[in-house]
Amino acid sequence: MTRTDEELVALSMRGDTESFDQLILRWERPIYALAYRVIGREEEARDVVQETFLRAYRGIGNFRGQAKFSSWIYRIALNLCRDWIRKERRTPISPVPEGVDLAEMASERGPAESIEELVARHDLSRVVAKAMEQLPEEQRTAIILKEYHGMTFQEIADLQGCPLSTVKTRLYQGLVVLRRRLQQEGHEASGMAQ
Amino acid sequence: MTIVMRCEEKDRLVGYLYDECSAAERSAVEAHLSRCAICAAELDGLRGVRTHLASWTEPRVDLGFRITRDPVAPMPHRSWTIPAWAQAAAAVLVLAAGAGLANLQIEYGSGGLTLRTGWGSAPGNVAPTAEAPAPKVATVEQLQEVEQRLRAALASRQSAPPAASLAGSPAGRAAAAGSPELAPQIRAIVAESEERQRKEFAFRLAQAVRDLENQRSTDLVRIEQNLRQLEGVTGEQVQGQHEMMNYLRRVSSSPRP
Repeated sequence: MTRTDEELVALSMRGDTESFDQLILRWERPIYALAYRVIGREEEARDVVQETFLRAYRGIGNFRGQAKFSSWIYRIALNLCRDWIRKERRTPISPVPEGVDLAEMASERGPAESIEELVARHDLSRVVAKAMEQLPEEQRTAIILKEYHGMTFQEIADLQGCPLSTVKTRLYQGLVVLRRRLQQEGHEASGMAQ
Repeated sequence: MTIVMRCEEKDRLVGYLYDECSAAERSAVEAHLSRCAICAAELDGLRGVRTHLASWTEPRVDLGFRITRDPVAPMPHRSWTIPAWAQAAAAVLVLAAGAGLANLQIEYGSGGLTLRTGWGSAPGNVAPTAEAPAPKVATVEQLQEVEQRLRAALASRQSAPPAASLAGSPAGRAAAAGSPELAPQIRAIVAESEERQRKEFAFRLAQAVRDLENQRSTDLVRIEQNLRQLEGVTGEQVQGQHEMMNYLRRVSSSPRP
């Protein structure tokens, strides 16, 4: 039987570490994806995931359930990412390597994807990552939460602590800058491509 | 209420882009896009950006985090234990040494019965008298000697190889059997110490009783002397009074001129 987050949280609050392990299993990969895209480093993203769940475990007694568990843990992870960026005083580094590992790429290739298409996708991924890292942190985070985590405007506003209209503005401005940079890199951004 | 969208209302365009708007807003945006090519092209470009963003995937990494607790460090296993008889002997030794080192003294004097403990030499007024035999007191040095002998005995037992590894040798069998030749020695030492303490206590108690008796005799003599002195004074006063009365009678009975 699959338990809901709320049920697992309730069990965890009573000291059931296995329930908390299930929460980790359920949310570690989205949190890693968030941390990886925000700070742009694999190892540091792992550290953020570990610290996020450690803090959540230690603070589970203070979780009152006003928000969803996922929102709570996203907030912890985002705060850690901000702390890391502030502490390191460096902009996120593009995580996509310049070189192409064909063996690794081949394992990620879709069933109908040719090698040429696979290489083109990786090249585009590198360009997107580089364009994203140049965005202001607020715009980058808003786009990440919207595009890769499917959050609503209101959820993003709650996480970022800003009005809903500000979230829309950040999204719009970020997308416009990305479109321009992609065009500069030779990737014409057109909805006709999809 | 009909909504009319203007070009600068980008929040409506973003809401339409992500399909997160009301039906009225959607109708307004679509109506605007049908007559504004610039906004329509911009929407197309933003959709293209979203398509490109989908190509950015995170690496496949093994995570598998779990909550684990630090194991509690086990208590170190003691390879040897002190036998019960040795513990009892040590307890008696500590008590005896404590009483000896405390320099327990009993004194009776003008101030009454006094029990005194503590370091330092005994006061002069409680020193043994010349006619009394010198008391056999267990000194600190003697008690320390007893303690050292006990410690040496315990150390020799602890330094002996484990019984399991010496199971075939006589020494090993003796050690495994709890050192039968050592136990009587310990018991003798403890008994000797107890006897010394008992004798010292008896001597000090007898001395206190003797001092009490002497003081009582002295006090009785002094009281008797005081009584006699008081009786003498009283007799002289009575005699003086008699002489005064006689004088008065003679004066009163003689004829006046």
